[in-house]
Amino acid sequence: MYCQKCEQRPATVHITHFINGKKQETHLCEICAQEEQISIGIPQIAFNTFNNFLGSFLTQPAVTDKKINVEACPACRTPYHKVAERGRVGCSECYQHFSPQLDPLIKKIHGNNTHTGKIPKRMGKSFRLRRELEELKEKLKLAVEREEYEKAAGIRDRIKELEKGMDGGKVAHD
Amino acid sequence: MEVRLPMIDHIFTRARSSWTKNEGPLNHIVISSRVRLARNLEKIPMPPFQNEAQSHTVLERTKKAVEAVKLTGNTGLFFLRLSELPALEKQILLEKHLISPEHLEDKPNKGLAISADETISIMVNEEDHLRLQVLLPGLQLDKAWEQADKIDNLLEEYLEFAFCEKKGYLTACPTNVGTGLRASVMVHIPALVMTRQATKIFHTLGQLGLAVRGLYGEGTESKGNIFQISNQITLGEKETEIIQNLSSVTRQIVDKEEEMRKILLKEIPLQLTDRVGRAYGILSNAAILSSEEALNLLSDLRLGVDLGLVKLNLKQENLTELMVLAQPGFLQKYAGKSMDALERDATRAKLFVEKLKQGGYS
Repeated sequence: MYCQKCEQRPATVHITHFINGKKQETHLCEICAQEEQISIGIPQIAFNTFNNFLGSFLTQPAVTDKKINVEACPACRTPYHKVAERGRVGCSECYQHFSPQLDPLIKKIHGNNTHTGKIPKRMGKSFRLRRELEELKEKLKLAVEREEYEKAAGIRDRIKELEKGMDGGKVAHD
Repeated sequence: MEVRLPMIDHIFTRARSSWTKNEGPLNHIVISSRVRLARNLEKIPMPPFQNEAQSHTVLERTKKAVEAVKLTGNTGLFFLRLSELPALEKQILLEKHLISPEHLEDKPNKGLAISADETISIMVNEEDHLRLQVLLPGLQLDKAWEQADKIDNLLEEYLEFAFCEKKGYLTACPTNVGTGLRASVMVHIPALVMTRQATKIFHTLGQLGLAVRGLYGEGTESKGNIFQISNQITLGEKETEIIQNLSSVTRQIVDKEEEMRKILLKEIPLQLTDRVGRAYGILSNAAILSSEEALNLLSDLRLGVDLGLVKLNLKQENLTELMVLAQPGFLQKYAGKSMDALERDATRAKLFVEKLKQGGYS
């Protein structure tokens, strides 16, 4: 189908008007549509669609066995319906406050809900050690499964060493 | 109003950018590699919900941090307030992939820290408080991540980023939470498109948790057989795993593209040579040239150069720079005035005739 205005380029913008209850369709190419001042700002439209898409995720009923927090976030005063509407949280505290609603969603998006990547330096030594321990225990399990006992022994020694350094192994057992 | 520093004036006047250089591994297919980190300041509402005073606080704190961070040589950062830039210059930043389409939105207290060589840019008050980007030519995701990680560490000494043990770095959108890392490559894959293999590959990429987008990212269409491929998942994988995963997928795409190019060259050499010659013919003689046509023809020409079907002797500007130069913002800067669509197409045509004629073809 060609553009009704220039009759040269293919029509990519389709507009439906209702005038006195009668349906009227106009088919234009992108250039003529722009001249007619019809906004087809592509990035903007796509961005909103994405918002709505995510919004539909966010408004889905959350898992019911947890208490659902419907009060606004105490830190930024953003109510949950605003978060759902825009697909964006109000502030970093929202993740904690709306966790009954957000956690299942995050799991759905990422297929996972635990961060294993970078940690800011200020998070302190004990958190880093705990993370290292968890990773070593995973490696130990894998080594045992593969019957790589020599490697496993080495990892076990490193775990013991770390646990000794961490308040008599208290953290490792929590 | 702050006077713009002459040290970074070239950003707005030259099409050349960090990523347009013909450098880096596999740059015949992988045009550029990008790593982006999303970071937010603790206790301040996210940009979609903040008021002017709050966004001002974010801007000022980030500016201070950026100025305190000492980066050497060409990677030293300059700070710009977007409100002080003319619309045309903002458009140029977008066309050079230094800011996102969303950062063009006319909201107060948007900022940009940028290095003179354009490899590093930090958008302030985009969707997140900070979006740190490192952009390099060719397939260099690991190097881009290393640099981004280093700058992130330096900024962290001055700014407290919102972080929680379980969910990692906290971002405005739950799709970025965790590492806040989006890695992407821009690939030119004409042979895969020609042989209709691209859609099949994109389908598989989707299943691998990777997204395929057009030339200017989210919501933009693909032009000139150029696509952006990026990770979707940001939580549960380490940064290095995300980088390695995307790097190895990209290498496989390069292999497939090369395979298809060989097949095309063997099966239809005459048609390919014809196509490349016609592209050169139009680009070096047309009087009206739309940006879409220019990008598509540049794609044919680039393929011809890569396959050794033609030799172009372009001075200074390479084909990637011509791609940037073909964009509306750049063209208007070049012409020194704002123009309507037809004027732009005529100026673009004139520019290509000039650049290609001086280049020579054999």
